[in-house]
Amino acid sequence: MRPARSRARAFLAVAVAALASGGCDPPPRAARDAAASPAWAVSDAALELSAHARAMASVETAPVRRRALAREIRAVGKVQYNEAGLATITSRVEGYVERLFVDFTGVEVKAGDHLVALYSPDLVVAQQELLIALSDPRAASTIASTRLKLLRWGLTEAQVQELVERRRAHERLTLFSPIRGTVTEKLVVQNSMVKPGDVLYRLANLESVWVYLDVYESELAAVRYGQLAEISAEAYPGREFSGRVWFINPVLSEESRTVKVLINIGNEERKLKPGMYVSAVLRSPLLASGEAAPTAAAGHYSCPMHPRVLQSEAGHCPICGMRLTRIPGEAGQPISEDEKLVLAVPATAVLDSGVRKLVYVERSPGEFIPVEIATGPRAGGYFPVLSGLEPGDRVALRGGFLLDSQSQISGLPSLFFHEGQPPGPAHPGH
Amino acid sequence: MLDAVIRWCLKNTFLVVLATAVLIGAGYYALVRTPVDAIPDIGEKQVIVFADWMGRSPQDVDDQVTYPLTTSLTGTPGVKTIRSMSGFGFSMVFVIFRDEVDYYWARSRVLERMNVAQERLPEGVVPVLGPDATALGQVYWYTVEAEGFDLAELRSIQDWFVRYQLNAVEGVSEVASVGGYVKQYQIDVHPDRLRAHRVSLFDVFEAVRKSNIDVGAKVLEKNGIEFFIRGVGFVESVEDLEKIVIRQEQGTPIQVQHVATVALGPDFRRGALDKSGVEAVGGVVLMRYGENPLRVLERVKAKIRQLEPGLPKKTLADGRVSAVRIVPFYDRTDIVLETLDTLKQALLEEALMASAVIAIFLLHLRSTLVVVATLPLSLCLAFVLMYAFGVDSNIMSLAGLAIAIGDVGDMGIIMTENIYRRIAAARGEGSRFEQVFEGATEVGKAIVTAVSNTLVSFIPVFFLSDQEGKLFRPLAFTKTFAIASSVVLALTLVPLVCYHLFRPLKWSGRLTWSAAAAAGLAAMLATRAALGWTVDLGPYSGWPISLLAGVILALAFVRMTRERFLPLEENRVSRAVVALYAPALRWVLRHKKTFTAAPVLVLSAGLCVWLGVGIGEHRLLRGIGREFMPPLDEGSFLYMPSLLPQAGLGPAIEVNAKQDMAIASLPEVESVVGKLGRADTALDPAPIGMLETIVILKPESAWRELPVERWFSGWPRGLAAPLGWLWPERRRITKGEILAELQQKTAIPGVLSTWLQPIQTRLVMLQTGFRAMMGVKIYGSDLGQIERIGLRIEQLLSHVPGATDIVADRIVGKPYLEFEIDRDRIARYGVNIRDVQDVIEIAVGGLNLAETVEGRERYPIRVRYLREFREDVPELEKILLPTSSGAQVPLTQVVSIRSVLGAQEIKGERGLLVGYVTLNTRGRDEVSVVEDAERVLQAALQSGDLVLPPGYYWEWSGQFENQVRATQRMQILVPVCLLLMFVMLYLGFERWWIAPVIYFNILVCAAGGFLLLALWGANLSVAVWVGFLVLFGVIDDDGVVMATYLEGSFDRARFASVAEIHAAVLEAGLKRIRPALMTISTTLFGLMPIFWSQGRGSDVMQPMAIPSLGGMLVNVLIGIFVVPCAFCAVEEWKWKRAQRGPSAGSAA
Repeated sequence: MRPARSRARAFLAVAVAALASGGCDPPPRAARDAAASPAWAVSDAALELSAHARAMASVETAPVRRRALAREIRAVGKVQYNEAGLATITSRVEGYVERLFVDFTGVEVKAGDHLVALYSPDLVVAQQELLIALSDPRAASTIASTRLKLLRWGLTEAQVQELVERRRAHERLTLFSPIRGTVTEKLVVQNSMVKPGDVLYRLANLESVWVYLDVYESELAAVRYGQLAEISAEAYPGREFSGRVWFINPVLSEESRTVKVLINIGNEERKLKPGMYVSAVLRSPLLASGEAAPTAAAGHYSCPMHPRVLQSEAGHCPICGMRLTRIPGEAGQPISEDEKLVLAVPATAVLDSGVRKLVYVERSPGEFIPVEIATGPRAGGYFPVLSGLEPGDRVALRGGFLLDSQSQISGLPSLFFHEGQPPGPAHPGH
Repeated sequence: MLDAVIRWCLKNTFLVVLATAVLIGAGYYALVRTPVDAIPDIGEKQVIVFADWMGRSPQDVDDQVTYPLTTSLTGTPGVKTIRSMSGFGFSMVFVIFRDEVDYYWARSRVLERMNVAQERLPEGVVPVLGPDATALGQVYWYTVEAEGFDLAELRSIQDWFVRYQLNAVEGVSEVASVGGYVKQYQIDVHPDRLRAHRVSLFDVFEAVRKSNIDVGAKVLEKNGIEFFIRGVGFVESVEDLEKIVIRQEQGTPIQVQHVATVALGPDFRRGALDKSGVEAVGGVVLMRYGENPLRVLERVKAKIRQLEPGLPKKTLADGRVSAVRIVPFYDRTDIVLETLDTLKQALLEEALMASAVIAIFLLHLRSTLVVVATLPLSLCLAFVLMYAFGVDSNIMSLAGLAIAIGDVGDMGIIMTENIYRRIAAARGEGSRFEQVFEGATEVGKAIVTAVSNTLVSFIPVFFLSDQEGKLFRPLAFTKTFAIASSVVLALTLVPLVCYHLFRPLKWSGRLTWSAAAAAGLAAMLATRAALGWTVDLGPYSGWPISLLAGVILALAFVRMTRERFLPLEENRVSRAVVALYAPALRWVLRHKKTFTAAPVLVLSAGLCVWLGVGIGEHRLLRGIGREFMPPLDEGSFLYMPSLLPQAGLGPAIEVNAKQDMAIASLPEVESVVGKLGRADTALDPAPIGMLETIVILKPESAWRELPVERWFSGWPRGLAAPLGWLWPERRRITKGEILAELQQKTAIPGVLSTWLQPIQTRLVMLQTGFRAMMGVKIYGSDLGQIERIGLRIEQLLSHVPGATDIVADRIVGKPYLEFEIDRDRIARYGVNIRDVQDVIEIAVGGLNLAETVEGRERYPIRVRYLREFREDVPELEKILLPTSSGAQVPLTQVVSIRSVLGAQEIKGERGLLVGYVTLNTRGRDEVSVVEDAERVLQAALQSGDLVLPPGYYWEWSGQFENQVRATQRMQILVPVCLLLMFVMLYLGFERWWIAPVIYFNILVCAAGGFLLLALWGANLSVAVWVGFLVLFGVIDDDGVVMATYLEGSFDRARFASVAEIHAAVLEAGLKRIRPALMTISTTLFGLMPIFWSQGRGSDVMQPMAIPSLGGMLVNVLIGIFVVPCAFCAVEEWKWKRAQRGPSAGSAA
């Protein structure tokens, strides 16, 4: 039955039967006033939401609690030689390079590997001196001094021993590598002449490398000795290297406003090459006070290749047997587990105007009040709460923006309007 | 002269018939060709100047672009007002011209001024003229959809294919894209790598800029063959960008890929589209100013049909082929056609009702045929005139025809009846030609007089100005056309047809029957053919109806041949009327004083209802509300929720999707598409938090039915069922209820909402600049103050009954991060402000520095910092600034970043800043709400509740302004026109007091109109005033007819007693009651269809018909006694006086 007809019929009925006002359909206009039940209201400076309004605004709440937080610091840096593993091969005598064993840069050498053979007239003379002295039973002191001279000039104990036993002077002197490492520089060429003090090779031990990270002033507070760092290099996507903070440069670079932080990283596979750019993430656990927790690693011993190894005594790495190195700094007091838990509010709950930070707390079901909070710097998905919230307070994780808008509209205090406006009667639901 | 015309027509049958045929043809042509629209285009002439300044804050835009632009444009000739708006990254100046200014002339004046303004604008800012359309021109919204295509692909199809194709359609000013993602080549620079490679941001910038160019190098001729030479170097892919070299270091190139990530991604966007909760890509077709939407849309749709097969296709994983489609979600055609359908149906029904009334009164088929024939012919002529005078066919002009239909019939009735009477009186003797001629000339003059009265009553409408003028003048025109046409036809065609039709027939039975059968058969075939041609019959054959038509026509034919010309008094209906009227009039004449109470009572009741009763605030009756125009039911809603200015795209999209899903869950909703932020057009300045959701409702027949509790509902079924037919126990859900439900479902805290309709909104926006029915504009010079006042007003207004959706602009509510550069510090590093600003601009904001050229498509190339290096303040501080030494320092060394609150958009008008408080009304009329609101504000100002610093003021604006202005004009024009009518009446009668009596009757009937208005719950709008004017004309006519006859019969008579006077009045009354009743009935019943039509547009028509209906009812019950009663009383009094003093009698 169409309303058009029904209206017409009703009209006729009224006209014909002269019924003043029987059952005439109410004009549609009247229905427009059908008031919607309020979707929200204001009571006692709090915003009350109906279940529907709450669902529409996707308001989701969760209690704030203490949790372990770690602040992440991202930094970039450059791979450098481990300064402790650098070596230079220097000639101590004058001579001529007869034979180059290590004849290009980049050769890996082990400790004791021959590097170069020199013809040195001085050395031959000295050897002869020793041999002469040997044949002279009275010259024990000469033997000792000549022997010492030969050793100082670069002959090894074995070479001297051989000389003594064989009684024959070596025409050439072979120089051996004192350390394990990589030839990073070769300064001699075949048949060149060397003088005492000339550098022949430079070696570097790449078994562990150092990464210098540039850390901004503002983040420095969170960097501690012994902190673990995860390093990724562009060359090896997806691969992470780990190391420990070994050193924090005492001087800040004026130009870039950064401080160099040194990370010691094992590099057995020689993947990290000095000069490479890497980026690093430092994870710094936070204390309840919002400060970075001491790592408790300072003063302890660790393996550069396996930074997870942390011992209070010097010794060898249980994994690779490498000698452990001491992390600089004084050993601090260990911190309790309790202290490591920080009152944290999810970052999605915090409305930040740049000046103030606000969260909406559900005082009782469906009733929200804005609470101004003070937080530390963001740590992952959370902010450490310094003040304003108590553990167990339910905060709105989502929909905070809409709650704040409604507060503002209703004249309640809100993010941008501290005191709110004098509350007028709300016109709920419109 | 009239006589000569009538005579000529009677004599030249062929020419008149030919003219009629031509008229029918011309009428059909005019009907088809007249431009059609829903409502007259009452939009203002608006020219928009738009200037883009990407990424700049409103404050910068206002200071550097909007202000210089506005000041340059001030003083342009023909300008009514200039409004401006500075948004995020763009400036818009709306120059509104006076109505009489030619639109394109206005545009070129603006262009002239812009050339001057250009010099004062910052480099790179080029103001352009907005499309030659207004927001009202948003006639067609569509989405581009396909399964398996992502939003960027769809947007590319829309941007590069669909858009330009549709834009090329004649009458389309612009096609704007909205939603989805614009594809963009994104070079995301990694600051650490910049540092590592010792490359600065500008190096990257420069390198990219130099790497995207094609050149031509003239030609090469080889053995007479000419080759064109072309250097090819446009960027075509991500790889091309990656390989751009920035610098080389000892043979090692440093390329873009070494310092940045290059990817295809979405461009920064300030708008999105959501269809039922899912993101979509779409567009809007903007119609050129002054075009006809129906025609433009026809062409657009034809173009879409043409495009559709060529749209991209894709084979999905499961083997199905998915093709891109263009799906409309708002189509102005629908409402135009539906509105016109309603009106046409109402017109048809009116004509049928009027014919039925005539048939019943005359009980003579041949006369009925004559009168009925004049109805469509008058309309035909009216349409021809409309076409000739350029009056569009729309709800207003057709309503003019609809309310005129009673009058149109009257002319034919008067003429036919008089001729009939003549012929009947002659009883078949004498020359029929002379009888017809005399019959026609006798009333010819009366008809012309009556019509001139009616036309005079309509003069005020012609004198309306501005919007109300644009709105109602078409109505006045068409009504005048229709009535004039009917007069012309009554004087020319009617006598002729009467002459030929009113001949006594002496056909034999067989001849009659065979002729009837032939006519019936012809009618049947014609009906069937017409049905088959025009209507889609579906499974019905259409034959039964055709057969019925044939039979009816055949019977009517037979009846016509048998009809005799009986004197009217012997007519059964006449006798019934007389039987009812005579005793009533007799009673009235005997109890004149008692009777007087009735009209006085009605009059005072009408006055009370109109103006209200009560003392001060305690009112018994509120009085009739006032509004500009009853809103046209557009069958759709425009839901405009707005988020606070600090809202980002994320929450806006989420709110939009949620609300759309909630809206779509209502069974009455056909489709819902929400737009947030801007479409890419100068006509859409919406900020990101401004949502516009178009909700299209299903046709009313698909709405839910709700049970209604009736007084008989508890009764047994058998008893209740028949009553249920009169008072149905189920009713359809009303639009108001749907709205209430939608409001409840979409309520989201923190979202301010406004519910209006699309066309309505665009109209108001054009007139006032805001998106609500009305509002307060607060002018001043400081945004903070304006906002404070606005928020206070918002609170104050919430007390005003009937005011809803009160929203004050949150002007200063957008958080800004300000990078304040320390000049001392930058000096230390040897950099300039500009260098720092460039870094901020490029690194943080990103800069589109070139465009790829890929066939027809163009995509921007953008350089910006990687997202994670610019997402939060601490990261922003670390942005690298290249210094003169080549080292790069973090930005924090030279700038301090502050968070402050600023403006989201800055609006200006008349050189001052302006803020709005907008509101709508519900359940109350606009004007009263505004008056109440103004009172509240003034009271607050007095009491100090509202503080208005010097230099600040507020002003109301909205459609009610039109109502106020129209009322002011009407207040002058209506009395003038009434006076004119009075003078005409006075001159028309010898007795001076007849004019006041008729006037009194008019007022009584007007009171009836007010009473019905109150009962119906309608507000007093300009439309209603127009309805009253119609009523005045009709009542005036009736009174004149009655009084003329009375005067005529009294002039000849001398009376011996009061009883004789009574008898004379009675006799005259009885003579005239039939035509009077007939005209009243045609008007009354002719208007009925308007009331029971529920289609689109009926809401606009009804208020116009209410006064006529109410007035006519009162006229039937009381009015028809007033003139005889007064006449009788005066004559009696004069007679008595003459009896008492015979000497004085002669003086009367």
